[in-house]
Amino acid sequence: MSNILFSYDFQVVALGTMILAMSSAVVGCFSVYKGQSLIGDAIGHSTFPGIILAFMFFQSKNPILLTIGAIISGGLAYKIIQLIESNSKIKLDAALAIVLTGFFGFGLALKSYIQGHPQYSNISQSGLKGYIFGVAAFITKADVLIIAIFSIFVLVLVFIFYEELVISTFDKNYAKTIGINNKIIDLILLIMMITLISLGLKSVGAILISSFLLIPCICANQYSKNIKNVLFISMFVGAISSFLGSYFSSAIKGFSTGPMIILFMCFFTIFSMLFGKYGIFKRFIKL
Amino acid sequence: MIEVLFVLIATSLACSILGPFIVLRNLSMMADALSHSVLLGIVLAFILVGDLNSIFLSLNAAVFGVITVYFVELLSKKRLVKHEDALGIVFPMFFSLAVVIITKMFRNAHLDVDIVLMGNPLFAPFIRIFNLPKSLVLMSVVFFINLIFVILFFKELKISTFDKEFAMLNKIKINRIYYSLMTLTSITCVSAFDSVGAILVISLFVCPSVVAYLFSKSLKQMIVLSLIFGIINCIIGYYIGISLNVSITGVCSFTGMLMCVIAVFINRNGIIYKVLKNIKNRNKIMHDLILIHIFKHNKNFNELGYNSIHEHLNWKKELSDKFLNDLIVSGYVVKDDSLGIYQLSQSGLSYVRMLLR
Repeated sequence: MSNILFSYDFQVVALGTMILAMSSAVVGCFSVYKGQSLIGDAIGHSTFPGIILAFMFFQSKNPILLTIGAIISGGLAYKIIQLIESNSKIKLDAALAIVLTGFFGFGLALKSYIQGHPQYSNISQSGLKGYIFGVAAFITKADVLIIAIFSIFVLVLVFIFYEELVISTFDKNYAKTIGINNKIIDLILLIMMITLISLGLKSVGAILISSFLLIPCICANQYSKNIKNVLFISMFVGAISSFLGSYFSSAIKGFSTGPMIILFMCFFTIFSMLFGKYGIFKRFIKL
Repeated sequence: MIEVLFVLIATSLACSILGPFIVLRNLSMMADALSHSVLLGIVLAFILVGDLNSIFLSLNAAVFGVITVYFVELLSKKRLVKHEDALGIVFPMFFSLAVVIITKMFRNAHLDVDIVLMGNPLFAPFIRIFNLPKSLVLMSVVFFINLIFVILFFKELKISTFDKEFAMLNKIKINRIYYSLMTLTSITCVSAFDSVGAILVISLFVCPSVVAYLFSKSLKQMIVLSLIFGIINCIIGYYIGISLNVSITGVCSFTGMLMCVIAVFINRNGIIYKVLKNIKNRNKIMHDLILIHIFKHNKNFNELGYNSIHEHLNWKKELSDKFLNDLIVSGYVVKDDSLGIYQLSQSGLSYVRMLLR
């Protein structure tokens, strides 16, 4: 056991995923309360073509460049979702499904295009596939550094705009009357969300990254109805799940890290739904 | 090679006949969740049976799809979480469990997570029964099952989609209809997995129906259009995919999105129509304003002079000249060269009187 705890690979993976999970949990809470939980899923899928395009354009797998590609592509996807939703009678969930499949399909097409294409043959493409499901084992010290820098940036943003975020999330009209610009707050939240999603692609993958935003918040909701407590509990849930997930995936050969972390998050959430303060069993006792 | 296209078209027919109900009931993301979580059903059945071609695999996977739906409904009914959040927790859980099991247990088996997402229609013609590609036969059968379901229960589906209370008053079992629909969706997803993969299945469920939704006025029309758009989508995707030598499923999903975005622009209430309508309205207001101005200041040299009228309208000269030109062409305004002013013609006069009445 202690062998793994002190191994360098485990420490890097655990540190990276824990920082990521903590900052995503904070931002995720706001997007869940805004009713945007599934938008994260759509954006997560939509970042994939951005990564491939960045790779094609710069001909390198530099994580910063790929992350920037992912951010741009995610932002574009959000714009298209908004365009479809606000200019037609199509509902949000259909718009999400359209953009999700369209962008991801575009990514798949691009990926099959560069496979075996002579122009891209001199650079290894092996890592690109990992961005779909995430390969935490490939996380390097540089990746952890990027995750940490961006996470601190996001957390500082949350800290600065905390009041505005909370008020604008829960009562838009009140926010407007006391002079908060809801549009700017929405934009800040969106930028934070897309940034975190893009950061998590390498370790968790395009398909499951949105769960990092969503699940800790749902878990925390079973214990508290105070936003500050919810934020701290969800950070804790994210961190402990990441730690356990990375531990088990290092300890047992062949377990992939991202899905393992999400399984732990789900386990905690279902446990909390049953035994939490607002869980099912407490309700029975009250009756 | 053309058989690949037939497989795609059969798949799109099977999907897009159920699609309208999924879109109208706001179940698009539910279909997405379902298509991800059937993977766990396939994996678990594979552990038990050990044969990838067994029918038991598909059945179990379909059952898992329905379990997902049931689980989501259960969570949101107990008011533990909101409906969409319930969706967002159930399918990652099933999906990650499936991925973990696959990567741990079947590293060498022919069960690849990639194939589940992307499919590979190019392989479809190699597995044959009755001298036809197996997927083609399978998808045609699924299409006919779906078709019969929609025809038999059309009334119930329609009423429970649009008005739940009315359906209940008419003793329609809305839950039974709902779960039958989701069961068929689940079966369709599973059957289409081999050939086209999860991503394209969702795209085929949603995109053709959304395009049809924007262009149709009745449910029947929507279903027919949805089938047609599904076929068009596949043909475009197939030929682009073949000619550029890229993933056909990827291109098909991308075309689906493009069709939707184009439809949002060009449909009857679309963006382009709105912009054109705005321009038309603005022009009409400008024209009417000029006509009323000329009528009010009849024969006033100062107000109506060739070079002074724009000052009194408070517009730029080019702008007022352009609109006056339009009016002269349409015959409402005439130039009175002897006085150097604009005058109303007979038809212009009667038009203004009608406006001011």
